[in-house]
This record gives sequence, C-alpha cells and structure tokens, in this order.
Amino acid sequence: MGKKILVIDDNEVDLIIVKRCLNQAGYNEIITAEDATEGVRKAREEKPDLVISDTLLPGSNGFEVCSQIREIYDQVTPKIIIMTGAIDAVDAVKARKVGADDYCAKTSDCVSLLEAVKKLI
Amino acid sequence: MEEKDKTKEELLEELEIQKWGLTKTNEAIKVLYKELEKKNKELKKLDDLKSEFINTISHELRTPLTTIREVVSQVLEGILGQTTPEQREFLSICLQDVDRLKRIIDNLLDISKLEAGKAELKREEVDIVNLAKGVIATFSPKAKSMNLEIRGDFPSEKAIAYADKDSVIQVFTNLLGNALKFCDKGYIQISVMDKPEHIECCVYDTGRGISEDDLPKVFSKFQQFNRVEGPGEKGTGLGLSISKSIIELHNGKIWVESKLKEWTKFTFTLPKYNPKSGTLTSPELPG
Repeated sequence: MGKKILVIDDNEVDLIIVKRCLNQAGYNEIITAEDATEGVRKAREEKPDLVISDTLLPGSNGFEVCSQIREIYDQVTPKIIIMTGAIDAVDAVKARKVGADDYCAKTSDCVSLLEAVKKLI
Repeated sequence: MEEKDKTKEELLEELEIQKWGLTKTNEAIKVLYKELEKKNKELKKLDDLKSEFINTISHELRTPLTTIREVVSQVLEGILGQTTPEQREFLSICLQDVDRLKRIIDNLLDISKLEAGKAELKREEVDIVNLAKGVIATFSPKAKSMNLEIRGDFPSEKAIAYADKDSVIQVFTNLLGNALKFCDKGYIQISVMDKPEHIECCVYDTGRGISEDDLPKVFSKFQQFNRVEGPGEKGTGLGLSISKSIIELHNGKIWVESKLKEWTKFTFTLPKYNPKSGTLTSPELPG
C-alpha cells in the first residue's frame, strides 16, 4: 500500500502486536519508537503518513507527542491516532483538541485500531 | 454582534469536540468490554482444561501405582521367596514412598475437585463431639507409640453441625496428623464447643510451633516447614489447603495461632442448622 506508519509505544510487547497486526493488514512500512522524544524525531525525519501513539509514554504522553508533531507539520499531515488501554472521556476530548484524528482502544486483536487506520490512510 | 457570533461558534466547536470525545469513548468501552468477555471465556476454558488434565493424569497414575504396591508387598511378605533383612528394609522404603505418592495423587484430585467446584457436600446434622471422639480413637494408638497424649475437651455432650461428615473427618485427620508430626513432647488437645452462632473446633498441640513469618503461608499449596529430616510419614503439603477449601465450602472459617517452639492452635467453625428459620447461621471470625 506504500503507506508509512510510525507507532510510538513504550511497551515492547504491544509494539510487536500492533506491528504484526498492521503487517497482516498489508501495511509493510512500519517504524517504531519507544518514547516521545524518539517518536517526535522519527516523525520529523521519516515523514510518516500516519502516527499511532499510546497515551502513556515515559516522561511524556501521547497528547504531548501529538501537539509537537502538529507544530512541525501543518494540521493535516500526518494523520494521528491516539490509542489507549485506559479509556477516559476527558482523554478523548484532549486528544481531539491537540489535533488527533482518532482515539481508540488498544486490544490484542487490534480490530478497532485497524478500522481507524483504514479510515485515515 | 461579530464577537457574539465568534463565541457561539467557539461554543459549538467545543460541543462538537465533546460529542466526538464521548462517541469515541463509548466505542472504545464497547470494544474493550468485548475483549474482556473473550479473555474471560478463554481463561475459564483454560481453567477447565487444567482441572481435566489433573483429573486424567491422577487417574492414569493411580493404576500403575496400585500394581507396583501390590508387587512390592508380595515380595516383602515373602510370597515370592525368601528375602534378606536388608532387602526387606529397602522394600519397606519403596512401599512407604509408593504410599506417599498415592497420598499426593489423592490430595491433588481432592484439590482439583474443590477448585473446580465439583466437590459436593452431603450435608446432614452431625454430632461433632461424637465425630471428634472417633478421630481421637483412631489416632490414639499412634500417639501412644510416640509417648504423646491426645486429650478431648468437650464442654457439652453434643454439638450438632450441619456438615458433610466425611469432609469434617478429613479436616480433623489432616490437623491431627500435622499435630502428631510436629509434636515431640507434651500433648495434643481437640476441643469442640457448641457456640450460639456456630460449632467451634480446635486442634491444639504443644509442638514445635510456627514462626510469625511462616504463619501466613500455612494454608498455601505445597507449603511445608519446620519438618525435621528423619523417619516418619512425609506430608504432601496439600493437607491444610484442602482443609481450608473444605471449611470454606461449608461457609465456615479456619485460622491458625502459634508460638514458635511452644504451641500451635488450629481453629475452624462449622455452621449449625437453625430449624427455626430454616437457614444456616453464618459463622464470623472473632476479633
């Protein structure tokens, strides 16, 4: 499909799961980052089409990452999904306000994440 | 007027974001709920599989064990020809360990049944005083051979509990067996008290006691401590765990108090059948 996706998550196992799910869905160009700084740097250097970030990151969070990426680029590229295992309505609103395109639950089968990805790219 | 429109627009935008947030949250909760339901089902399946596995293995192990036991005892008894004292000594060790293995398997089966909730209690009105006296009679010869005394303390002539007789005997047997194992001097006392809310039973011994560090672990599976190496029956480390499950299945409580090198006291409660209300009294842990 030729789309480049950056996944930011400090949990190694979750990273592997998300990467595998994306690969199976036909997305082969996946780059990963384990913290916010690395994530923002890779977003700048690699110019991904989509960024998927966990809400909780060491020393930072997905919202911070989202607004920093939005500062680098314009308001439309890349697309950003905030995913989380701890659903919170306040977080969802916060995600929208910092410019995220979607907010979804992190599950082991990645079904809702894949749906969101397909809608955005 | 322009400013007013701007505020209105901002408010509408804020509302739109809030609505988006709520919709997304709602969707995510539904997804996570489904995932939890799925995981729960998988865990239950695994648990069932584990119980089934233990059950099958235990049954499969029992059959050859019975054969081994039979063959060894026949050799030991001299049915298959004369044996030397040394051979007999070794065969006796063999037999002791075969019996221990059988106890472990039996206990594992008990545990798996209790954990799977498949153990059914055949509850009836049982006189616990009478039952305790029976257990004392069974253990007295063994205690005598160890120069120990088993005392009975029964303030009332009868103490009727609504319980499964065989299970209660199993609990007493486990507790008394333990007391004998860890008591080198003094005595063991069994008391049964008919309290207004429940029947309270104690097994007290003047044995080695349990350290404060070990006390919280006594009811866990495969826990054994303070055992001095040497002759005597080795335990399986499952007896107290089984006893706890049995008592809890009766809606009773079991607990332990001890002073290292001085004494140990196990207490458990059993419900009484209350004919007036037709319901069981619920025993409470004192203190």
